[in-house]
Amino acid sequence: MSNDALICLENVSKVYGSGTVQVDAISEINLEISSGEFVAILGPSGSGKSTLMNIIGCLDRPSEGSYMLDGEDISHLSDERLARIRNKKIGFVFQMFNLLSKHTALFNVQLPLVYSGIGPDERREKSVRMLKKMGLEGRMHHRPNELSGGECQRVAIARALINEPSILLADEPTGNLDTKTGVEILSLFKRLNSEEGVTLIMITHNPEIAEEAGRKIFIRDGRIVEDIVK
Amino acid sequence: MNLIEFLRIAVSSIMENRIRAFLTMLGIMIGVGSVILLVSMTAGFREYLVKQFMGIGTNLIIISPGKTETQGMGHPGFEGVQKMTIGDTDALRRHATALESVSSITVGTADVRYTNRERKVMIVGTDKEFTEVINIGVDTGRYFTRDDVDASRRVCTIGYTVKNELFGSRNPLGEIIKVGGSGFRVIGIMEKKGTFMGTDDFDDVVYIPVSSSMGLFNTDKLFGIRAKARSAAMVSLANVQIIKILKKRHNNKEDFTILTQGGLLSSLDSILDTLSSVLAGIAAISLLVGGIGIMNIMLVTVRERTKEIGIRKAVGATRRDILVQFIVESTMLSLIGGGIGILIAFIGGLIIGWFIPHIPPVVTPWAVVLATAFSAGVGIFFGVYPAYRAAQQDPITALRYE
Repeated sequence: MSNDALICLENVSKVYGSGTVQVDAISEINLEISSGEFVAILGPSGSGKSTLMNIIGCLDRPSEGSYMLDGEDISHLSDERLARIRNKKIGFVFQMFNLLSKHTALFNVQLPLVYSGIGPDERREKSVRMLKKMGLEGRMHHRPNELSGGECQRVAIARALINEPSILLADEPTGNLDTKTGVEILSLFKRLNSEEGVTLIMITHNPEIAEEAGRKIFIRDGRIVEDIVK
Repeated sequence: MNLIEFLRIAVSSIMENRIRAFLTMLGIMIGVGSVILLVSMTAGFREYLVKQFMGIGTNLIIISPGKTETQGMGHPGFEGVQKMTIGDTDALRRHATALESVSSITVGTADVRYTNRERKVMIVGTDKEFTEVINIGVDTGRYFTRDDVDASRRVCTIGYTVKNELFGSRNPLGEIIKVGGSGFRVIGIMEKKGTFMGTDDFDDVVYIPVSSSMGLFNTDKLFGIRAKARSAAMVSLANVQIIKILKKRHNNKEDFTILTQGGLLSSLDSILDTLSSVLAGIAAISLLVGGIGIMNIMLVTVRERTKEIGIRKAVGATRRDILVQFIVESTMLSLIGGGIGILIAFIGGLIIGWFIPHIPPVVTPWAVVLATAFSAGVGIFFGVYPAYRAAQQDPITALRYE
């Protein structure tokens, strides 16, 4: 395995629980993802794909094995350091959008910048630019409940990209959208990947959506069973 | 993240739940308000008492027969208390250099009669120096002279109430009134003095020469002696002189009690300090309850905002960020509550002052400072546990929380 990969997992396992009741969520995963790739991770529910994503997204640490992100070993970092890495290097897009429901689209997009210590003026300016890029200039001061599902997901994508992360992690990003909007969001992702070179890792159980990705990784029972590069 | 960001988050969070925030603050408001108000009321009461004490006279020394504190093993027996006489007064006048003026006092009650009007009145027997010792003067006419006293003349001055009750609008000067059956000529009307601590009416008094009073009540015992030290600094020297002079005349026994205004005030202060602490302590219990209320609501808030915490953590909030966010919020709630409490205390003080005009509460700055510090402390103390719970949330579980 080369060390210039953006993401490099070596023998990564995650065990939940302790003592007699132990569940192996993922075991002995070896995976390398390079910068600029569009990877789809597929698998039935309970296969461990969410656990994998949580580890790649630095929300969780592997029980065993090592995880190198951008040349940095993060398997043993403290919670505080992991938070910094999430803030700077990773953008999340969730199935349920996960926006702060009581705040405007603009505020939601600014949130990662708040934790980066960027001042209000710069924060606002950057977020407005990003929302415009997502085609939401007219919706900036609306709250999530005043926005459609597609708009919410575009706000979430804007938030994920605001800190110019190395990786965009999307967990079933179209799972909560109607087909037409799902296609729109997917094409937005594709454009971000092809035109801006954003590294995109998308979890899905929809084979059609996975077809759009340049690489498909199948997971079953916590192990990678297939890794297809187009 | 800097403090301004945390304050921003706290303000928006409080503004989102205004009614809840208000109810949360209520305990602190009441607590702080009542602590300040009760402390202010005791302070106001103290000021009133001091004014009353000082109104009697300055550098006043009260000498009474008998010893209030009992020490030693001896039998109290007959030799215990010797009566106090005019001779004692004269001795003090002659030998106590620290005293400016000394006056004998007898007190009794008698029926006072003028034509067909009769009234039971306090009869105070004194001498010329009384008006120098006590802050009281003659309004019209004159006070009795040394001659009047030496000759046991049957003259009197009357208080304002007595004048009104017996004479109405007539001029009493020169009239003869019957005091316990004996005729006394009215030579003066005393200044209006009002009541002392709401009990004794200083205007419902007839003053007669002490010598005449001894004849009237058929005794040579004094009620006591009132003296005035030359200055505040001389009070303690006067005290020593009085003890020395009187002991010599009383078979070397200290069978009398000396009270000074300063002594009275300091014992008054210690009583009021205790009272104030007890009241403030009781009120502080409501602050404690208010603090628990804040903790309660913050725990609910943390649970309710689990998802928010998860989102914030996912986009890069550290544990410390979350911890500080919630502590700032609870502290702000508590401080706003404290601020409103201070306002309540001020308004309450004004209202009480309106109803009890002669004892207006005095809002002391230290009570305000203390209450503010206390409410901030309550916010931090009771905010720490909920904030800790928030900070410990696992982001993955928190994100999944609905």
